[in-house]
Amino acid sequence: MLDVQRLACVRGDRALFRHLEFCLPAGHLLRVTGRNGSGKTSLLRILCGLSQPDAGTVLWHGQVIAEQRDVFHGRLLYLGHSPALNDLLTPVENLRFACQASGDDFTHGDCIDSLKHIGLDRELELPCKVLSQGQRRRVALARVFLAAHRPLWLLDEPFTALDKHAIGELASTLDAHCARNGSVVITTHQEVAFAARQESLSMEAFAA
Amino acid sequence: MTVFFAVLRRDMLLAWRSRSDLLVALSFFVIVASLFPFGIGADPAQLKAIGPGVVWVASLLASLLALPRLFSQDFESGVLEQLQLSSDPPVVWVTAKIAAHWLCTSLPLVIVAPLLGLMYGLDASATQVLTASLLVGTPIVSLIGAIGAALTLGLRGAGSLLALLVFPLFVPVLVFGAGAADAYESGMAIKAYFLLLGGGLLAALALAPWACAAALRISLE
Repeated sequence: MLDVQRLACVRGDRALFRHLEFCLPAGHLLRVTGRNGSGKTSLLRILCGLSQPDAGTVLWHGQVIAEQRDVFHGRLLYLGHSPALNDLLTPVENLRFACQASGDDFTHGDCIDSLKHIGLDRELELPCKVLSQGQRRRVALARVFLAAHRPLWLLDEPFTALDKHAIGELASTLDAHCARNGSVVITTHQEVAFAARQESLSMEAFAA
Repeated sequence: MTVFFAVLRRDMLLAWRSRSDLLVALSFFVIVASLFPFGIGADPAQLKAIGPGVVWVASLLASLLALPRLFSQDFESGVLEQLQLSSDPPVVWVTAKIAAHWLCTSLPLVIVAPLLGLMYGLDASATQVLTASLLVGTPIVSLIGAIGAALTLGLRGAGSLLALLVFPLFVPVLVFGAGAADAYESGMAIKAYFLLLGGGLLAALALAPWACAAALRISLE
């Protein structure tokens, strides 16, 4: 499904990686590892089309992603480093807007359900600025419960700042996504056990 | 269109929740326009002559106050990235953001402008012409200003750079906007001024969102 060919990325005058190649079939989870600054986030941004690679191509179902932007973005869930929340909006408002911004229209009730699912219950009517780091993270991650129809998930450090229970909950959601033939790419430093078919990509192997 | 209305609704809700910021811009507009009589003396004929120009310049300064915030907050929080990944073209939500910006920051200025016209001794119909010129002209200011805000996104000293970048572009709007009320005062036809402003608005509407979307794509890379 996702096919990456001879990718290279240069930031400033430093080459982060080159000749990076992998193929991610449906139903698989790819785990990208590497030390800080090795280009994990840059790789994810290239995969979702936010940045352009300095060489190489990213193919989705055999076609370059830039040539099918609208279709590809409709199939994609990308959760970046920052949780993409506005401090003045409540978690429900933020989540509902995030869905609408990506082109899905979910009801207020759907958003409340998925926030409850990830363990936010009493904070639903508070502005996001009073939430803790982990709670903000959860608000952003609640989108995975509303993205079952998007086959490709790209998650940048999804387990950061989460407690044990939330990590388990998220891992089983990722497993479930792979089980219904979705694909997942995550970057992580943590050891998390997955049931899904897992592949690993170490950025060090492609360091320039 | 889901994205357009979602962005419009959200930005207006945010403007309402941080309405003190809007009040600052509005008070700034009124204060700047009220300073001039103190500086140049209270000769009624002179005040009447400079009134439209002063109100127009003050409105430009006041809209510039809020412009840097148009994209910067969403840029820092990562919301712009998510919007960029929307399956709708970026032009859609860029237009929505500019529309919300105009409705929340420039429209209040247009509504307050007749009061300032009164202060400068403009008669009722001249005040109407001034207000109408602001109504047609300020959207151009928001549209052009948005390009500047997108180009300076994430830069150091973005606010002052933005002013340097967009003020020269505001000159034609200022000339025809303030010129309309001046022409009316001196008994000339004002139709041409409004046709030019209207043409400028249509051109800005057709081009600025695209330029803005392109500038944002570069800033987000």
